[in-house]
Amino acid sequence: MEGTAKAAPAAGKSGMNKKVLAIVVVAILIVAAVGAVLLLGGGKAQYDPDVFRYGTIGGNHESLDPAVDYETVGGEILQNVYETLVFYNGASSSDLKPMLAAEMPWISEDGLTYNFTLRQGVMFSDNKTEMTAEDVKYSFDRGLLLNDPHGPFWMYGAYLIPDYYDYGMASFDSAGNMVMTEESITQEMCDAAIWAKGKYEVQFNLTTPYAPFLSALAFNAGSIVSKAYVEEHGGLTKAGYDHMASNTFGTGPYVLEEYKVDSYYKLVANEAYWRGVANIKTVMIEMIPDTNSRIMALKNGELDAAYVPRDQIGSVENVEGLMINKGNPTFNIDFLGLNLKINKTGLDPSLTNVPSDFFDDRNVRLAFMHAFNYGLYINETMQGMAIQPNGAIPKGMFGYSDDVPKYNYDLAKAKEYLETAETNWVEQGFKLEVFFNNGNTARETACMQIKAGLEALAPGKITVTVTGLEWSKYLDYRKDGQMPAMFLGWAPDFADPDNYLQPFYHSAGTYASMIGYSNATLDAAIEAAAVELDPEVRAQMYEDLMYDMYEEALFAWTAQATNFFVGQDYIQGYYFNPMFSNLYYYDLDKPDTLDEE
Amino acid sequence: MRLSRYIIRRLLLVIPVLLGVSIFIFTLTRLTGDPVAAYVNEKMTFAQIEQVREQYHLNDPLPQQYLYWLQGIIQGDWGWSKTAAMPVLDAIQYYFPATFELAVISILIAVIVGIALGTRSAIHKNKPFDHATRVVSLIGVSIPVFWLGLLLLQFFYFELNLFPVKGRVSDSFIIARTLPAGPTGFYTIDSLLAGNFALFGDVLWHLALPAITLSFGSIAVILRMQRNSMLEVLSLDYIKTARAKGLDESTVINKHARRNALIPTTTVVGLSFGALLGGAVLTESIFSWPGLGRWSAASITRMDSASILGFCLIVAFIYVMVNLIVDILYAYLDPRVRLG
Repeated sequence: MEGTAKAAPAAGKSGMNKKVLAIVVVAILIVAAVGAVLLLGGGKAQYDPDVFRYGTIGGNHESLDPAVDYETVGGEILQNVYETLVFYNGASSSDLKPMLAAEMPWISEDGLTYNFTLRQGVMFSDNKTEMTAEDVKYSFDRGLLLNDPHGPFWMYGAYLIPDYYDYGMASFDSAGNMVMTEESITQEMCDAAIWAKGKYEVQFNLTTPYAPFLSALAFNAGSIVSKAYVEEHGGLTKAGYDHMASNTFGTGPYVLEEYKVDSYYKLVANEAYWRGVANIKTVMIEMIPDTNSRIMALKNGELDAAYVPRDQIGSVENVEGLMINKGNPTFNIDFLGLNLKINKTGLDPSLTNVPSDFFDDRNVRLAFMHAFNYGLYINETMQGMAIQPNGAIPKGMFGYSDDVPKYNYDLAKAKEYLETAETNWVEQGFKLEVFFNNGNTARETACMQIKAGLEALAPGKITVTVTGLEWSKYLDYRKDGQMPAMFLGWAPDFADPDNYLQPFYHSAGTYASMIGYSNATLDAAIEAAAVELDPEVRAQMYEDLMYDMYEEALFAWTAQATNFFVGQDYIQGYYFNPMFSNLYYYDLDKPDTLDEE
Repeated sequence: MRLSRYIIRRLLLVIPVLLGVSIFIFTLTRLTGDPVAAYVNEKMTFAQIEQVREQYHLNDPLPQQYLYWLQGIIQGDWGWSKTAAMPVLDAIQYYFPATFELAVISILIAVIVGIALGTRSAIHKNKPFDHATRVVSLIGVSIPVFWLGLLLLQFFYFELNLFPVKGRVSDSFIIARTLPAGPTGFYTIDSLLAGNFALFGDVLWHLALPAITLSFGSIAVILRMQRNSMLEVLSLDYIKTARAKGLDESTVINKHARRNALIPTTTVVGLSFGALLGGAVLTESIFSWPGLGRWSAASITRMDSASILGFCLIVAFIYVMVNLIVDILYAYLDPRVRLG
C-alpha cells in the first residue's frame, strides 16, 4: 500500500508536467499565430503600387538557359530578363521592331545575309558589362554548339548550318569539358554562319533564304547572353551549361532575383535598363496550383492578375474590381487529323475495322469535316472563347486570309459523302478508334462530338471509340502511325505561317508524316513560300496554299482559342500578344493609390 | 546495449528493403510507359528522340539500366528531376522540410485531439459525448480533404481574412529579403535561429490551416483506435483492482489505463506520421505548399522516372525509420515488450 501511495503522487506529478508542457507548447503556437495575424493585419495583402503579383497554375521551368528552354514557364522569365535583336511591336506579332538592334537589319537581295547594327551603350544588369557584337555571336555560337535536341535552336541551326539535322547534341567528358566528335557542330561552322564584324555589327549568313528568320530571332532562344558572364561561370563546359540552367544575366527590364520551385519567381526591376527602369519594381509570379484557391486570392485582392481556366469564367465575371480581357485570337489551334496510311499493327480489330487507306478516299475525309459540330464545341466546351479556323494558318497571323471557306457542321452532307465514297460506308458501317492525349478534357469532349456526329449517320452500323493516350504511349503511336484519327493541338514557335504549313503539310513535317501525307507539289509550294522575301507575293502564296489545304481536307480545324485574361481593373498597360509567354511586365503599371469608395 | 544492437540490425535491414523497393519501382516505371517521354517534346524529330534515348541509356537492357541508376544512387547522383528542374537529391532536400514541418504540426494536433477525445469517449461510452465523437470521427475519415481545405479557406481566408491562402510564408518577407537562407530549410527552426520572431509567427500562421486540414483524417483514426483500446483496457482486471484499492478515477485513467491503451494507438500514430511525411497531394495543392506530395504527383504525371524513383526510395526509408521508432516506443510504453 505504501509503495502505491508513494508512486501515485509521483505519477501524477509526471503526468501533470506533461500536461503543463503540452499546454505551454500549444499556447506558444496559438500566441505566435495570433500575434502574426495581428502584426500582419490578416490574410489580405496590402496594396502596393510597386509590386505586381501574378497567380499561376504552377509547374517549374525546365531551364533558364535561352539556348535550351522550350516551354512557357521558363519562357516568361526569359522574356522579361533577356532581350532579342528584334521583338514584337506591342500587340502585333507580325510587326517586329528593333530591340537590341539599333534598326531593322539590312537583308541581301538573295535573302542569305542579315546584317545587324547593334544599339550602343546597352548594359547587362550589372551595369558594368556592355552588350556588343561579341555577345551576340557568342549567344548563337553557344546555342548551336550545344545543339540540345530538347531545345529550340533547330530554328536557327536549320538555316545557318549546312545539313544541320545530321549533327547531334554536344556531350561532355568526365571532367565536364565539351567533347567534339564528327557528329558535333564545330566552331568553324559557327564562324562561317555568324560574323562579329565590329563592336556593334553582326552578320548572319544563311545557308538558304528563309523569310521567317527575323520572326525566329524574336523568339526567346535568340536572347543575347553575356560572353563574359557565361565564360566566368564555366563557358562551354558542363559547369557552364548547368549554371545557365538556373541563373540569368541579361539586358532585359527585369532581373530574376530569386525563385523557389513550386513556390514563386521574384523579378526585380533592372536598375540599369537602357529604356528606363520599369514602373513595376517587383514582380511575384506565385504558383497556386488549385484553381479555387487562386480565384479566391484574386477576388480578395491578394493577386493583381491570375490564370483562370476558361470554364471558370462564371466565377470571375461581373465581380466588382476585376477586369476580363478576352476575344483576341491566340495562335493555338486544335485539330482532328485523319491518317491516310493507318498502321493497324497493334490496333484492336474490334475497335477499328476500316482498311489502312480508309482516309485516302477524299469523300470519307469530307464526311468527317462535316460531321463535327464546330459551333457546339466552341460555344460549350470552349465557353465561346474560340473561333473556327479556316485552315492551318490562324487568324491574326501573316498569310491568313478571311476569304478561304470553312467546313460547316452538316450531317446530311456528311452522310452523302460517306455514301458516295468508293465503299458505301453508311450501308456497310465501320468501327474506328479516335485518340486524344490523356488529361485534355476539351479534346476528349471534341472526340465525343465527332463520335456523336458519325454514329448519327448510320446508327448501329458506325461505331466510334474514344481512347485517351498517355504522352509516352502517344509518342509510340505517333511514330508508328497507329492512330487512325487523333485530336491534338499546335502552338507556334515563331509567328510565321511556315511554322504551321511545314509541320502539317510538308511531307517531312511532324503531323504530315504522322498521317502519312506526301505531296511533292505542295512540298515545293511550301518551300517556295518559305524563301519568298516579298511580303505581298508571299501573302498571296499562302492564300493559295490555304485554298489547296481546304481542298485536301486532311485536318478538321476545330478551334482557334481566343485569349482570356483576368486581373484587377486598376492594371494599366495590359495588351495581348499571342506570341508572348504570358505577361511582358515592362509595359504594365499600377496606380499609386486606389480610390476607396 | 541490447537496444543499440537492435537498432543497428534494423538499420542494416533497411538496405535490402530499399533495394527491393527500387527494383520494384524501377521495373514499374519502365513497364508503364516509355521513359523517354519525360525528356522529349512534341516538336522533336524521331532522330532527335533517338539521340535522347542514347543519351540516357534507354536502349540498353533493363537490368543494365537499373545498374546505371543504382551506381548513380551509390555515388550520390540520383539523377535530374525534370519536374523540379534540379538534381533529385536537391529536390528531396528542398521539398522534405516543407512536408516535415506540416506533418509534425498535423500529427501533433491529431495526437493531442485524437487521444484526448478517444480517451474521454471511452470513459463516457454510449453517452452523448461518445456519440458526438463517433460522428466526428466518421466525418473525419469520410470528408474529402480538398473540400475541407477549401471550406477552411473560404471561411478563414476569404470571409474573415484571418489566415493566409498560400505558401509557407508571406510575400512581405520575400520582398523584403528577410527569409533566412538556411541552414535547415525548416522555416520554423531557421527563423528562430535567425532570431526573427515575426517570421516564426508568420510561418506558424501559414502552417495552421493546412495542418488542421491534414490532421482531420489522422484525428479520426487515432480517436477510434484510442477509444477501442481504452475500452479494452478499462475492462481488464487490474483496472478493477486499481479502483478497488481506492485510487481516484483520474489516476486510474491517466496512470493505469491510458498508458497501456496508448500501445496500439502508437502504431497508428506512427503509420499516420509516415503517411504524412510522404506528402499530401491535395492539401499541398490547395494551400500551395511546396512539399513532397505535389512533387511526386507532378513527377508521375510527366513520367519523370528519376524523380519517382527518388521519391519512392525516400518514402520507403521514412517508413522503415518511423516503424523502427514505433517499435522502440513500444518498449518504452510497455516494459514487457522485448526487442529481439
